[in-house]
Parts: sequence; structure tokens; C-alpha cells
Amino acid sequence: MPPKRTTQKSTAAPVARRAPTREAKTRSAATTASLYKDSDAYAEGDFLSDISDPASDIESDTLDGAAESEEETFIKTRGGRAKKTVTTGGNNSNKRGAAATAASKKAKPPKNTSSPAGSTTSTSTSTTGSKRKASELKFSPLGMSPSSSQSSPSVRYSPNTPISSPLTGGSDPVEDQWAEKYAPRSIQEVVIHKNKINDVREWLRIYTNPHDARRDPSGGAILVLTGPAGSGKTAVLRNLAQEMDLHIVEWINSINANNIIQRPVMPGQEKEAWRPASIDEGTGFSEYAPVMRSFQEFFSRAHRFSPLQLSNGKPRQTQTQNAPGSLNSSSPAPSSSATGRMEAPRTGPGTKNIILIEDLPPVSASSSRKIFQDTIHNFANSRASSSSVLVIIVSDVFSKLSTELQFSSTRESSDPALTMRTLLPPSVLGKLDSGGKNDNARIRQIKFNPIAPTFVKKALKSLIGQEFRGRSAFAPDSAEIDQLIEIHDGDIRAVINALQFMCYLPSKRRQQFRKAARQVEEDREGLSTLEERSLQGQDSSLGIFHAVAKVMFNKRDWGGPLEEFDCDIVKVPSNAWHKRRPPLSFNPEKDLIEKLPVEPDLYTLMLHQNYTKHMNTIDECATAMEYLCVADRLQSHPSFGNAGYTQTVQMQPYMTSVAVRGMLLAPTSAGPASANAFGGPKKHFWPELFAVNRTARANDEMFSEVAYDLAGREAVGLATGSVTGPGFIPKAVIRQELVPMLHKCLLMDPYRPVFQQLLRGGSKAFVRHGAGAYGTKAGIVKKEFGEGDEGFVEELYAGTESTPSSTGVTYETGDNQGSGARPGSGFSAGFGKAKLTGQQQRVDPSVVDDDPIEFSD
Amino acid sequence: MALWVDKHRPTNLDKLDYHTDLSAHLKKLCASGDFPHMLVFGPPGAGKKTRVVAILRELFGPGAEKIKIDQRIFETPSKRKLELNIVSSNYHLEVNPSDVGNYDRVVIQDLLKEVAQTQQVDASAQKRFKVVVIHEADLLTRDAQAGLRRTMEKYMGNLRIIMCCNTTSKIIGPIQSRCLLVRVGAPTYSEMVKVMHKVVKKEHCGPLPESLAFRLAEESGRNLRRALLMLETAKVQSHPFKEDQEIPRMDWEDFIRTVRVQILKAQTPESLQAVRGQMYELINHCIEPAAILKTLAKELIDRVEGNEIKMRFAQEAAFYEHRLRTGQKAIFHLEAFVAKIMSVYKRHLMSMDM
Repeated sequence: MPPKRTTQKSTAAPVARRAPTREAKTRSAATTASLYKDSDAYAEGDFLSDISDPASDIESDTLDGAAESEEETFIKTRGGRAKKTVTTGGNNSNKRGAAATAASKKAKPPKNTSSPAGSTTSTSTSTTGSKRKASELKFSPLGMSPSSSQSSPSVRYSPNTPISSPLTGGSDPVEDQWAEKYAPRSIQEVVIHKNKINDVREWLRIYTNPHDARRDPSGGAILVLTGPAGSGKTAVLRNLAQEMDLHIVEWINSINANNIIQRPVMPGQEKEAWRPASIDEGTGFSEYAPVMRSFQEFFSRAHRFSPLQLSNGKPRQTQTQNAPGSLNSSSPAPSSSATGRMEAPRTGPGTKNIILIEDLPPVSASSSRKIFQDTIHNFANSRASSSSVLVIIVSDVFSKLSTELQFSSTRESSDPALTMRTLLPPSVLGKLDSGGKNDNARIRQIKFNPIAPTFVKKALKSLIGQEFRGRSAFAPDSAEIDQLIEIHDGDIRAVINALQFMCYLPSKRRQQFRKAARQVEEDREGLSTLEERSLQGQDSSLGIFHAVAKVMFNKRDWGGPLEEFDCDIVKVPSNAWHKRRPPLSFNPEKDLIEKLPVEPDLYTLMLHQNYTKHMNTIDECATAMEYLCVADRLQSHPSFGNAGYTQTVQMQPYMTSVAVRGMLLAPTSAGPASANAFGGPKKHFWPELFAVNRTARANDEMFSEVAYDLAGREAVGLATGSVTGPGFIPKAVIRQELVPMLHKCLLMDPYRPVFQQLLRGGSKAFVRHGAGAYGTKAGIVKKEFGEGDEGFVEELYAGTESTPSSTGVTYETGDNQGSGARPGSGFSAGFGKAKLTGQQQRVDPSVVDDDPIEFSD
Repeated sequence: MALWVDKHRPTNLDKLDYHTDLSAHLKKLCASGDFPHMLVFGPPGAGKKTRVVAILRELFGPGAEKIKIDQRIFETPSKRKLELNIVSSNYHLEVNPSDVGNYDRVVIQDLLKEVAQTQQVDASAQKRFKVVVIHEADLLTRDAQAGLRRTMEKYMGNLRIIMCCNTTSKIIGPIQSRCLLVRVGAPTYSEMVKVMHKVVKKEHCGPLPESLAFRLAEESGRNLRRALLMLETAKVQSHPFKEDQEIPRMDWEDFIRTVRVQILKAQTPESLQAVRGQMYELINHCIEPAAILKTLAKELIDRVEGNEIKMRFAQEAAFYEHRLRTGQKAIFHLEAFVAKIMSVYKRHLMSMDM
């Protein structure tokens, strides 16, 4: 490989690499478009690669010599080459190098032409962008950092192919985002309380120093940063890493729709294409499992990487020399240095890795979540992993499901919110120290709070100072800034985005906004007009706690005048007049159902769980249940036939409406039972039904086992004419006749030969102990909920699909003390109380009431 | 070794203990060379399946008793995999399509087509058709039944279908008209007592007191399978039999009795909440919601005084059972039923006071 070409390439690299130096979050701004581009371009590349395969050798030669400026040919070659590379394996690194060089050559002309123009039109950006993506996809094994591409073709981490330069021109959408452009460049610029920063710094210092006496060496160290979006979690970590010379290896999900490529960001902050070898080249479509596999691979590499450097400084050195980051720091334009805010760490021997997981792999499915949790668990429990620390950043987003989302998500796949509690394995959660007790805990959580308005303002002032450089006529004034800060409530990223957007408003509208803001300054009432503008903050959704309370406490002007029926419009017969109530203080559809934080289905269940306490008489209960029934049937009306799910979903708004309004109608003139009617304040509980269904499913499995035992051996190959068996006998008979009777027999005479022969261990234990255990309330779990308990929602669903182990008895035996209240933990199958294991199920007494009824007479 | 109920099951038509004229009829039918599709219906524990097995034996000889169970996998159009246990011999095949719920149409069609397209290979077979036995046919969806109707005509050449169900009212007309309807009524008390004595004699476990046998028959609700299970349990509990020994009863039914007590004791929201907990326990034990409702209604009706209130309870039970079957969350409908019953009962009590 001629060395000249390599150098050419590396000079092109720093400019090129700026574009991909994005965090996952900021990327999202441009994602909608690029997703589309990606898939398009991918198909194109694929197709081209097929047709150009035989000719690729010749073409690459041509390219080597003459610098053709036609992009199309370029793509063809690269596509074809990639295909070839894959099929022939790693022995043609030379050729690949050649293609890479050609690529960098090729990339230059468009860049040069577009940069002077200052602004590329959006169409040209998108075409070049898409081509870049195509080449990336097809070509990831090439174009590594120079040292690695020369040394071995099997190195997996490789920077982006350097043809992205057009994107870094003046019109780069991401470049222009102020949130990115003016991101803090040093820890001093991060506007967060010093103590918080010190907490993180101290922890990092302890656990990245292998000789620190305070560290707990028993396993991998994990730091969990939580807090609302835009509270500076990532900024603190990145800037601290820079300050402390730490090296961040980040997992970033592919923005590609089918999740083929994962790009861990490596030291020089170049975004690198990493393609797991296992992906099927031909189809390009892979399920979630390979993504998780590549996650595991990423993880094991990431934490094995560092010791290698420790033992051998040499390769490290070379990498530092050639690392694009070092070039980055010397890049000329001020704007580019702003983007490359994270200078490459001056890495040396002893530098530690921070493995950063912020962009979560797709863990909504329980199987992939398991893989994720296992990976974390292994990390936490292996001493070998002490060479790096793991940082997980989780935003406490409690996503409200908008109406739109409700329609697109099913219960199984919906992903209402990923919180720390559902994300981390129980073993890790158990050891998690959320601050206070031991600042040096190996597994530590640090909570970030929304940034205080004064801090936000300080940051904004400095930003405006830099952006406008004294041209104060355009600069937003203080009133406007205050308004923005107020709307966005401590989310600094959102504030900056909104600020930027505001500054781009046409002058006329800008004037309006400024006027409104100034008015607000004087008169707080003006906020409503302000909110009508497009600069609104996030939609407010109700907390689940309030959503339930709203209906349960049934806010009306009780005792006031009854609602008047407008008899001109609807003739209400006098016999319905007893249904008159005082007017409601809110509109159930608009103020409640649209803002529900959970699926309507779950919400209805919660109403059902809690309504009895708010009813005065049984008649009121009957009315409430009547409407719940109607609502339930709306969901599954027989006339829908097999149309099934879609129909059900379409009926959901009606269903919720009926349930809620019915509930509201139920209390008669006296109003809902007052808080102290039965003594004590009323607590609300999560629905028990989920736990019940889970137990029922576990028991159902066991009944099938029993049935199979009863039939199995008799039936196979024997001429007995036995008619007991899974295919023979209705389930109802097994559950309601056979097993109850066998249960009685077994209780009397467990060693009777007939049972010994018929039933195997598991099903025998089930029949003996489970089938008749009534009155134990086993499997019914009650958990109170209060404010901020939303994370429980997924836990409710989480176990829905879980199948019991073969005996159906065990669910969770340990590791759940620290995880707070989990429905699975206190739960044993319906016959758990009497089960043989002798293992006392741990039930947190504060969580599971022995007596599910909360009344004292 | 097997349970008595299996062990002493008659295996051919001659040995059946009751409905002798039906047996004779069936025997003639089997001997006649041709054989119609058949729809066997009757209450649970009356002996439908026993008769079906006996018919198969009559048709194909002892070969029909050499059965094996295997698991088959069917695929729905939406690529969902369904597993179903199928019991088969060389001559016949038994399925319970209701196990796969709403996808039964796929199973019915695939399976029947497959069976129908292969002719009877065994040249020495007495009949040139195969028999498919469909259990719990009344739980088949309309779709499946419609699919069945066409198949029945098309493959009449080498396929006969025997369906078992509790009631014909859920079988669509076209199928009923293509089948020979055979009703197997529940045995009378005296017939049941006779069978019980026979079993006890075969088991050599001493004399069975007449009154005990009669009480067992009564308690079982003319369900012979149940009666024999109870008999065996009674024997385990107390051997030799005692005249006045306690009849073993189903635990869940006992538990429903406590639900009934709760309902009639207090009609308040708290009481309703307590009943909900009890309902959850029953559901936990996989007792079918419809069975819960039915049993509870029966208990309630037996325990209240006055025709009017009895009628009202029955009416509500019917209403809510219908809702239960069309609805999704059983607990809602069960609880609604209980709330309604409480409300009605409370008013009833108040009117009696006045």
C-alpha cells in the first residue's frame, strides 16, 4: 500500500469526522430525514453492488488513476468492492486500502465546491448524505484509522468513511444547533451545582484508580446517572472525562431502521461504524437478537480493551499519534472546535475506559432485556471488569402515551418508560446505593435535578453573548429568556432549542412573541397567549396518581345545584332525573382521558381496583360496575368477529369514556364517600389482576401437566382405552373435577400406588398442595401507589408473558430485597403457601397487606 | 393402574351399563357398512366419550384402541405457531380444537384436509374411511364450524366426523343437518348406583352402603364421572365405607359457598371488595368464570326465600353470564353480578322489613 495515499486520507479525516461527532440525542434532530435516506440508499447500494461485482477490479484501477468526479460511479465501485470484500474474506486488505484512498479522493471535490458557496441546498445535502450512508453500510471494514487499516483487516472499530465532508459545510443542520454548538467545553462551563459535579468526579476518581484504597474491588463499578432530560447528565460526564483524561467508549444504536450497524464512539470522538460479523449480508434485516448479541460483544470488548493497553503501551502510542482527535484539536475554524468540544483525551498508559450506555439498545422485549440485564449483571460481578467503569445514563422520562401512540402500541410491545428499576438486573439494583449512605459505593446512583433557572439563565446569557457578539438588536431580551426558562422547567437543552427557534422566527412573529413575553413579565395571566405559540413546552400529562384520584374523588359542586338538562335539545324522561348530578368540574375526555399516562386498559383496571372505597352504598357500586362491564364489552363485542385487535383499539376511546363517566356518575347526591368515612385516608392500589392472571397462568400450566401425566403413560402404545388426557378431556373437567378429587385423595393417602404411578413429582406436589388451597389469598398482591410511582407500570406488564418454571412454583427467590416493591417478589403461585420447598416467600410487609381491605369499622 | 373412572370404563357397546337401546341402535349402525357423520351430545359425565370409543372399537376392532399422542404444530396465516395434542390410531384421530382458541379454523381445515386426502392404506381394514373425533365441538368458533361444513361434504368419501358436545344449540344448523344426532342423557340415580356397586365389587373393597351410593349420585348431579371420582376418594378417606361418612366435595364449590355467605351477610362496598378477593382466588385456581357464576347463582337461589327474589337472581345470573361470555375481563362481570345481587337483595330485605 503506498503510504502517500494514507496520509492523504488522514488529512481529509478531521474535517470529515466532525459530522458524526454527535450524541445520540442531538442526532435525533436530523434523524427523521436521514432514516429515510438510509434505507433508500441502502437499497441502492445493495442493488448496485450486485450488478457491478464482476467489474469491480477494473473499476478500482480506473479510480486509482483518474479522479473521476461523478458520484454515481463512485458508489458503484464502493458497493461492489464491499461485496467482494465480504465474500473473499480479509486477505485483500491492499485492495481495500486502495478503494479507501480512492474514496477520500473522491470525497474532496464535492466538499471543495460546496464549502465556498457557504450553503449547500438541502437537496444536494441529502443526496450526498445518502450516498455516504450507502457507502458506510457496504463498506464498514474499510476506512479505519490509518494505523489499523494497514495493520489488520480484522479490526472492527473503524471511523466513518471520510466522505462526509459535504455535510460539515455551512448548512449542516446539526452543526447549527445551538444546544450542540454551545455545549459546555469544560467542566467549569457546566451550569450545575458544584456538589453534584464533585460527587461524580469523586466517584470516577475512586473507581478509575486501581490503587485507591476506598474502592470496593469485588466487581465491576457501575454509576447510574438519573435525572430529567436536559439536566446535564451527559455534559457532566463528558467534561469530567475530559478533565480527568478518561476515555469514553459509548454504545450508540444504529439510526438505521433495521438496526444493523452499531457505532460505538471511540476515543477520538469519531463515530465509528462497527458491524457485527454475524449479520446476514444478503437480507440486511435482522431481528433484535443480533443487535443484542452485538451489544454483548461491544460490552466485552469495551472492558477488555483497556488492560491490553495497560500491559502494552506501544499500540496505544501509535493510535494516539494517528488518532483523528489530535488532528481535531488543531482544526482551524472556530466553529469546528466548538463541535469537537471533546478533545481527544491525551491517552497514555493507565488511562481507563468509561463504558457509557446512554443510548439504550432495544430492550423493550423481555428477551432482549434479559440479555441486557445479564450483561450488566456479569459486569457487576466479575472482578476482571474492574479495569473499566460502567456509566449508565437514564433520563427519568415518564412518557405519556399520546393518543397516537395508543393506537400504534400493543400491550406486549409498548414501552411506556424505561426506568432504572426495570432496566437494571435485580442483583445490581439490590446493591445500588442511591446516595447518602456510602459515597464510595461500587454501584452508585447519582440523581440530577432540573437545572435551576438562575443557572440556566447564566448559561443562556453566555450563549447569546457568543452567538450575537454584540449585535444586540437581534439578541433575545431578558423577558423572553425568562419566559422560555419558565416554560421548559429546567431542561436546558429544550430551552436552548426553543431560543434558537425563536431567533429564527420571522421578525413579525418575533415581535409578537416579544410583546407577549413582556406582557407576561408584567402580568402572569398572559402565559396562556404565550403558550399558544409554537414555542410551547412539553405536553403536560397527568401523573397516574392524579388521574385515578381525579375520578375517585369525583370533583363536583356536591350539594350545589344539579345539572340542568336542556330540554329543548334532548327530552329527558322524568324517570331518568334521578341521574342528575351537580356539574362536573372538569371534562373527562379533554382533561383526563387525553392526558392519561397509561394505557386506557390499565387505567380502567385501576379504577376498578379502587372504586369500592369511594362508594357509599352497594347500589352505587352496582352502577359503577354496570358501566365498567359495558366498557369491557365495547372492547370485545362479538360483532367484531375475528377482526380482533384493530377494532378493539379503535373502540378504546369510547370504552374509556364509558368507564370514566360511569364511575363519575355512580355516587349519588351525597358525593363520593368522604375520606374519613371508613377511617383513615384512602389509599389507592395497583390492580391485583395482573398478579392473579400470572398465578392463574402458572396454575394452568400445572393443570396441563397433571392432565398429561394422567393420560400420557396410559395412552402411549397401550390398549387401555383410557380417555383421560389432554386431547380428550375438557380443561374444565380436569380443573373442576379431577384435580380437586385427586387432591382429596392425596391428602388422605399420599403414597397410594395409583398416584405414585400416575403423577410425577411436580404435578403430584401441585395436586397435593395447590389445588385445594383456598382462603390463603396466595398470588394476590396488593401494592399501594403514590406519586412518582409510575415505574411500576412496566413491572405490572413485565411478568405478563413470563412462563413459570417447570414446577410452576418458583418465581423469584432472592435478590429482590433492594428492588423495592415488585409484584413478582411477594407472589407465589396459588399453591405457594403450602409448597414443599419450605422456602418462605419474602413478602415486604409494607407492600403486601395481609388484609386487602383497608377499612376499620 | 388407573383411576377407577378409567379402569372400569366399558370398552365396547355390549358392556355399556345404561341406555341399552341406544347401544343396540349404534351397533346396528356400525354393522350396516356405511356410517354417517355423528353429533353426540349430552350433559357432562353422561358417557358420550365412552360411547364414541366403543363405536370406534365396533367399527375398526381392537386396532382402534392402539392409540398414541403426538403434538402437531399448525401455522396460522399470520405465521403464529399453534401446538395441539392429537390422539390417533391407525383408524381414527381425536382433537380438541378449542385448545387453540380462536385459531381453531386453521386446525380444523388443515387437519381434516390432510386426513381426507389420504385414503385408508390398510387393505384389511373393515372400513375404507377414517374417523375424526372432535371434542368440545360446541366451543368451536363460527368460522371453524363454517369451514367444517364444507369439508364434511367434500371429503365424505374417506372421512367421517364424530363430534362431542354438551349442547347442540351452539352448533350451526348446516352441521346439525349433516349429522346423525345422538343424545346421551345423564344416567338416572338408580343407574348410577348400579354402576357404583359394580365398580366396588370389581375393586373388592367391601360393601357399599346403599344410602351412601345414593348420596354420591345426588351430590354428583347425575354426572357419572364425578360420582366415580368421588367414590374413589370416599374409599381413600374411609375404608370400609360407612353409611354416614362425609361425601367428598369439590373444594372450589365449598369456597363458593363462603362467597355466598359473604354476599348474604353484608351488602356494602367493603363486602363487595372482600368478595372480589375471593373471586380472584377462584380465578387463580383456573376455575372457569362461567362455572363460578353458575355455581354461585345456584347457591344463592337455594338459600333465599321467596319466589320473586329467586327469579330475580336467576335473571341476573343469566344476564351476567351472557355478558361474561361476550366480555373480556371476567372479574368485571363477576363483580358486577355480585354487586347487582347485593343491591337487589338489600332492597328485598328492606321491603320485607316494611
